[in-house]
Amino acid sequence: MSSPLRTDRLSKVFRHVDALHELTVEVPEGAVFALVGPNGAGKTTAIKTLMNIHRPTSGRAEVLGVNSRSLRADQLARIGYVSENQQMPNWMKVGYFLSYCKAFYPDWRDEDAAELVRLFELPLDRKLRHLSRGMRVKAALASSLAYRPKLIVLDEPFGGLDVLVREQLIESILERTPDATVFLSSHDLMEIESFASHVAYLNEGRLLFAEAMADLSGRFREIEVTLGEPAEMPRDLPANWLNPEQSGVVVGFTDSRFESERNRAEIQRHFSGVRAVTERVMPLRAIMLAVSKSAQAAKGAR
Amino acid sequence: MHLILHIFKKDVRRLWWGIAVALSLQAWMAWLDARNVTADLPNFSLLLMVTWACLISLAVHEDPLVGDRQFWITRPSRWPVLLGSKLLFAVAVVHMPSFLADIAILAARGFYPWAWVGSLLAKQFVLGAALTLPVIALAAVLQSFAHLALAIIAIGGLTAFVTTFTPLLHSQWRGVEDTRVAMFFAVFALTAAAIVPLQFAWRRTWPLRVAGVAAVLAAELLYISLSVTFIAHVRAGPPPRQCHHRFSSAAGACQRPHVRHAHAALSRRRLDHA
Repeated sequence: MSSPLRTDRLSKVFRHVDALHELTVEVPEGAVFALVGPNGAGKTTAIKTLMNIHRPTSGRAEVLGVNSRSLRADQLARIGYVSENQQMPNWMKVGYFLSYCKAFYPDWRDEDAAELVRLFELPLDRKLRHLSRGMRVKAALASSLAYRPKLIVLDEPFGGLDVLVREQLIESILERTPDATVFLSSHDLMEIESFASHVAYLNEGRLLFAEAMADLSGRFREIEVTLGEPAEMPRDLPANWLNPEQSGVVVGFTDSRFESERNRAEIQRHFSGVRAVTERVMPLRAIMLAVSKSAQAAKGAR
Repeated sequence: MHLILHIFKKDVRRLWWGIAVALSLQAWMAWLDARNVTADLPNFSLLLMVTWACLISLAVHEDPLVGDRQFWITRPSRWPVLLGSKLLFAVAVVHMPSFLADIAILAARGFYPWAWVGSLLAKQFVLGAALTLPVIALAAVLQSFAHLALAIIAIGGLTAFVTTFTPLLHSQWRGVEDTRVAMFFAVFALTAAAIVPLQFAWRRTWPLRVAGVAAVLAAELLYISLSVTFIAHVRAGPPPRQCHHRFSSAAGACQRPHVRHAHAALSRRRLDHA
């Protein structure tokens, strides 16, 4: 199966600022791939470089089988792109905006556009500038879904929207374009967890990991070890035990390569007098926090 | 072509009020000119030029080329389509009305317009080179209409400085002035003709801005150096055998000694009093 989107050591430097550093990811066809990370992590830079809005400083990206630098109308007609900070033609009324967009897409379906207008309750006779932010995102999304794109690229599309609108937009994307690959950036981990199949984490322009959501959830565990009596924290803990902390007889850490048997054996090897071990499945938010904290600690140590 | 028309129609829909103002002004001026009421026409001509420049730049800024957040840049259209739509706008809103107005004026004054079509087209060519292309180029590398207005003021100010504070350079020999001004605009037009397709194709704003600034400085330098060369040549050389001199004042008095001398020497020549 070919990948609709892949990058190979993609880097972007803005006046000595390393905005994106050797990003290598491959998005499987049909996946909902979320690029997450804190503000300023390089998510928008990555997306804009993929969309040929920015030129990469080095490395390359392939979008729908074509070098991103060579993206042409043919490929763009199969990509739906919606960005949080897109400058929309605010003077246009919603109806005219949709009919204006229609001319650019040979595969535009009027019935899909009408259905999206109905679903999103878009007022066709109102100017975009008079719409709320949520409604403007809906209009942009309607104009990007009505031609059933093969690849949907969303740059922080749901920021600042209330939960109901967010859910509605996510559902509409998944239902209306079941075959499309979705690549989106977000720092809202709750929304990502609800519908992403793959996740990649960027921090300060560097990719910390990229994998299927199920694998990620499977390999991260919050571990709590209760000892018989207080003991000093060993120094040679495994590298996959992130952010170890001790409070009295309780030692806590995040295991980033969790395997139950191996984990228990490692705990027995490093601690004596273990009375209880608790393993907790971690939500995405907790995983990201642990990874982020660990990365910061490593940076501080350097 | 379909998409060129589509974007053009969108721009017309957006800027219809400005187009209406320009066309009204054009029609009114043509009517005055046709009736030989030409006293205030220079002022209105300037106003019309400013209106055209505003309209062209607003049309370009409808789909701005500077920045990375524009809605249109991820929509599937090729750069020649966008450029074509903006050129079509300039032709439809500026050049065609101007051309038709000229034909109407000639006809009203008793000329046979089609005999002058070549000259009228040449006038449109000059208008395109001196106004349309430079304005499209400026709008293509600047973020907004306000930036464009500031750039025009800066270029105008620099030109005014060069022409006002270097009186030595002034020559009342029309040929010298015409050549100098023509060269000045030729540099602008050629640079604009290079910048416009490059910016529409690549959207590499900063290198093209630098090229634009370099072209402005080159044009000003050319203006200065040409004048010095020409004036030195005119002063040092023998009186010309043929001279078409137009006096700048209604009294017909020449202020400069060398011109007076030339005037006396060429008293038998044809003088064209303005």
